[in-house]
Amino acid sequence: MLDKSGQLALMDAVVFFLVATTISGVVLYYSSLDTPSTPQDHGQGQADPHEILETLLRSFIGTDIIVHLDIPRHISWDTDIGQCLLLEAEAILDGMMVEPFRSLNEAIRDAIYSICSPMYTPFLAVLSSEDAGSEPLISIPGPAEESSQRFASVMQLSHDEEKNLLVQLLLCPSALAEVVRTVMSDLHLCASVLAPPAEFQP
Amino acid sequence: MCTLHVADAGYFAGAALGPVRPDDTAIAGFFEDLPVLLIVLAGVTMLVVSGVAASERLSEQRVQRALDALAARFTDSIMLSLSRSMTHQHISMASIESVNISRCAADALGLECYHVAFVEYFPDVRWVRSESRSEDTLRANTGYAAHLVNAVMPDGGVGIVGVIAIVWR
Repeated sequence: MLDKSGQLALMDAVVFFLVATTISGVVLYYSSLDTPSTPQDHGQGQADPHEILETLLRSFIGTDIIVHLDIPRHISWDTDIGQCLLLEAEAILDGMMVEPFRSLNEAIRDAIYSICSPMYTPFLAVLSSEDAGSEPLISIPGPAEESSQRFASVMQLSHDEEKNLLVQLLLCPSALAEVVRTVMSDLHLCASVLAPPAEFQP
Repeated sequence: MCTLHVADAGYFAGAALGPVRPDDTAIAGFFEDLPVLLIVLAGVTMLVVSGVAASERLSEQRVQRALDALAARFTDSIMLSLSRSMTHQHISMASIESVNISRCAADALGLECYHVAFVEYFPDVRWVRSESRSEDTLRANTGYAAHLVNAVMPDGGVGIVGVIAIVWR
């Protein structure tokens, strides 16, 4: 049985151990905040929403489309996607429905999906700056889902001061991103346990 | 010959520091101190190990950032080289297929190994071209950068091409 001084010394040692544990935890936490890039993060270079939106609007639609308005309107394959969106937004502002533009929206959706990383789900919307807070004129493929982490870019679609139209691209992490992140963290853990940490055999 | 007995030493010490009492209240023995010593040693070890791990992790992040910056500089150099050969509003596929990657690497990189690839994403998905300089196996730390660019396709349409670069030491 320890005497009083011995018990005090033991208590001091336990307090020191707890303080050391806390300090170690804080140090490890803050050093892991800025984690090194991992393969799933490498999609971020391709997830720059401004770059995606800019290249998308300048790209050709790539296929001939006929839109059945009051009179059938032919959209040639070499029309810019930006021009297509402007045409559709102006028609909707003039009171047309979205339904005749279904095939055009599908072609635009395919274009976005082909250039966007599968780690992200893209949502394109055309908004009228005059009707702030109202529903977007065009939503491709649909209304944006709620997500804790989203990347966004906005560009002006028309330079007409009367119809100030904006196009917005939102990128939300997809379900695949979560799966890959989990798998990669497990693989990283296995690799660090099984192999020398400095080397990585692809 | 003068001999000093222990009792005499105690007497002299007592004269200087006061009376010497037997050390009854001190912690007894080495084995009683052992739990204290072990707990203190565990705490010190934990501090040292976490410090070393944190410094290694920070060092790895610094290397990673440097490689990412190199890869970004490399892709910027390629984009600059492509923009010089731009004829109208967009880059042509012919200039993508003929751009001198080695010269861009010489401008932007040192002795780092690299792999660069051009991939057409839209309207079709196809591998356009790739080039690499790898003298060693791929390392755990690799820098990465990518850009998207509009390019005029052979049929006259404007598509989208991605430039992807990986750099490692």
